[in-house]
Amino acid sequence: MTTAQLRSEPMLTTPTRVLARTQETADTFTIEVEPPPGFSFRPGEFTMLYVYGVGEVPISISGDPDRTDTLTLTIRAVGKVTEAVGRLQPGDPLGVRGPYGVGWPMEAARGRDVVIVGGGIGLAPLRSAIYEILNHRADYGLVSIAVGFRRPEEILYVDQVHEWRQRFDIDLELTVDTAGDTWRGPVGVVTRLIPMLDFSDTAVAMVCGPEIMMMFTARALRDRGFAPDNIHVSLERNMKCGIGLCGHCQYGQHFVCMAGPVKPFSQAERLFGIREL
Amino acid sequence: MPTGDIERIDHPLLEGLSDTHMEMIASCAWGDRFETGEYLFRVGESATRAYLISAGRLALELDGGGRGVVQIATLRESDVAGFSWIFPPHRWKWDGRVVEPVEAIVLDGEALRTMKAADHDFGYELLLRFSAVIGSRLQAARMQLMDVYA
Ligand code: FES
Repeated sequence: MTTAQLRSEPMLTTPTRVLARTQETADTFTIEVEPPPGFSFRPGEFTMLYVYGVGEVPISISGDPDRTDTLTLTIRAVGKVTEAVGRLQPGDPLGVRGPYGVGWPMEAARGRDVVIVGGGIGLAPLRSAIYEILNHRADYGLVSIAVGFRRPEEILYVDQVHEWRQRFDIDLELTVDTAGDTWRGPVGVVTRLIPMLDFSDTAVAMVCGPEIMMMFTARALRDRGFAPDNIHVSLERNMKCGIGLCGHCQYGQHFVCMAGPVKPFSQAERLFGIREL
Repeated sequence: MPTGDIERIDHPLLEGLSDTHMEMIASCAWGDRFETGEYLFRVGESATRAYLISAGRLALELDGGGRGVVQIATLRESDVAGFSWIFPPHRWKWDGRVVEPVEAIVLDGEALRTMKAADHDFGYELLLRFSAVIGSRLQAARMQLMDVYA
């Protein structure tokens, strides 16, 4: 079944299995899943993962969109279903639906500078966008990435982040909220990195993390001259069906699963702080 | 140590100061460089200086006893280290340890205190600028307290 067919059969769960599992931090892990046949996705889209006998959970895709041999998902174990996913080992079965939603504005970003700001687990959905940019590097202008974590032990994709820092074609700044004296990098919240980023007035920003972090970041970007329409954030809502049927993710007249999760800050700002609508 | 050379004193904190006020700053300022591992100040010591950083990285940290040393902020190019010289009892509240060699304009806080008391226009300009530094540091500390990545 191709992605087009999967998209036309949106409630269909495809049985698949775990290929690999990596523990990223104390509570966060990455699984590689055998993708349903013909599966493809755009950066920022999400899937519904089904753990047999436990339940279903929406998870953003954190892998390389050009890779068709694996579907990569980074998950923080914070509830019954995500904890159950965390216990899965290579070879274990699970179900996948999707991909769903509106992802990062990769097309709109072509030819323009890109600013990517991630906080904590928020780096996961942004990683797909970073892969996409690096796979087609010449299509984008300056690329500045700022990421923040609570502590050095909580840095996600730590080897990859160090690898990206060595590259000459992107600029990556990393900060932690607090550290011991062996840490040699910056300490402070991620918004403190924003004054150091390079971009032109037509740049596109992609921001992901907890809502409060996105709100502060988007406002700091706006203070540096970003138009709110050029700042994109990824909204997290309680998603169930993923296809606009159940209403669990509704805000106003929109459903986050259909109109999001990625939205321009100009539309998302008023939703921050609204828990359920 | 003051160079009196206003051409060499260039830092965002001083942007927009009049020539007269720049000359007053220059009369008690000099450039210096500090190597990795050096402490610019230690908690509890008398605070008599401010550092307008132009390169490198300085960690603000505290030895938390059983918790070990905790870094709560790092300062870099364009940042300012030190406002304890303004307020009594003029003692440092944090250790300032050089993580990457720091180049800075050093201001003599005692001289500045005398000048701002004698010239309130100068004092106003100075306090306005240092208040902005304190405000942004407060905002950053609040965000850290809010644990924005949770
Ligand atoms: S998750 Fe059901 S309508 Fe969006």
